[in-house]
Amino acid sequence: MEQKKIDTALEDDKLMVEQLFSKEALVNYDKSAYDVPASYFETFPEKLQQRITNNKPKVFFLTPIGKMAIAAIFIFVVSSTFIFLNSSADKNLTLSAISIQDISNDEIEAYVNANEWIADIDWQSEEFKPDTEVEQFYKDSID
Amino acid sequence: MQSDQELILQFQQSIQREQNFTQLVKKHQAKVYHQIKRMVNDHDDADDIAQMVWIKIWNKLDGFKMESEFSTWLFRIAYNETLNFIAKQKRQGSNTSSTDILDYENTASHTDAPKSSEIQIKLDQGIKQLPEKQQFVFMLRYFEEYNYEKIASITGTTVGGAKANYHQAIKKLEEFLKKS
Repeated sequence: MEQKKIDTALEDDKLMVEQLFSKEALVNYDKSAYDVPASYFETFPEKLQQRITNNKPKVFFLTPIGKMAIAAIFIFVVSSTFIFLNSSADKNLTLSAISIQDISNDEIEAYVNANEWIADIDWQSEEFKPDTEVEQFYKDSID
Repeated sequence: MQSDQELILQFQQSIQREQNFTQLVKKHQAKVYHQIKRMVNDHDDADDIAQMVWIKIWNKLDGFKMESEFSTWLFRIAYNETLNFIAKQKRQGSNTSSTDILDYENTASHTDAPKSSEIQIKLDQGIKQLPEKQQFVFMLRYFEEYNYEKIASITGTTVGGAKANYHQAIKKLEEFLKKS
């Protein structure tokens, strides 16, 4: 039923043109589109493949397997970089812990003695720092 | 003979890509070529556009999701390539269509009976003066006998838009006949 309706519409549409121009004229018009050199369609696929092959460096396509492979490589590179960075950070921490333990007491004392004035300044600054909590306690008790 | 869907699936799965693609070309090349030739009237131009269309198909076939018919997609690319070609020619100031008409007039006057050739020339000129989109719709409907749904998908319009294009084309042809 639907097909018949479509066909009727098509017939009506074609008739509109055929009332203006003869059917023969329309058929002849279309004939020019069918004028092709001998064996054109036989040689066309081969000619096309040659052109595609020549353009191949520009052509970039990915098969589903190729996409999966690239995704896997990407995940591998990211995860291995992450693991490598984490493990090297741990190594640094261990190394620094060991190096502190390895320093002898004499060396530490010599360092402190040499830099005693830094410690003095730190203490002085602590001494002059107003103890707000204590001051507040005194104020509250006076009131 | 394998269906379009089977050929495309095998192509996408990298099974004998070139062979499957060639099968697709062999199945559809004539229809695409004829439609392009109707628009440009010159074999070399039609051949060039047809090659560009198939190269685009080759490049994009992996991403084709088969939501529409392959032939609809193919004709849509052909439609775009043909219109781009014509627009490019117009920008370059090429006047091939008018020379084609003159050639046609000369050959027609020698071959056909006077009355018949006169109608032929008018038809040719009438179709040439239509906007490209209307020409394309007119040819798909009259010569290829496509339904409006398919024409709408090819030209990227609605069914109503495709119908309107066809009827406007007929109206313009009628007006052209009256004027001449």
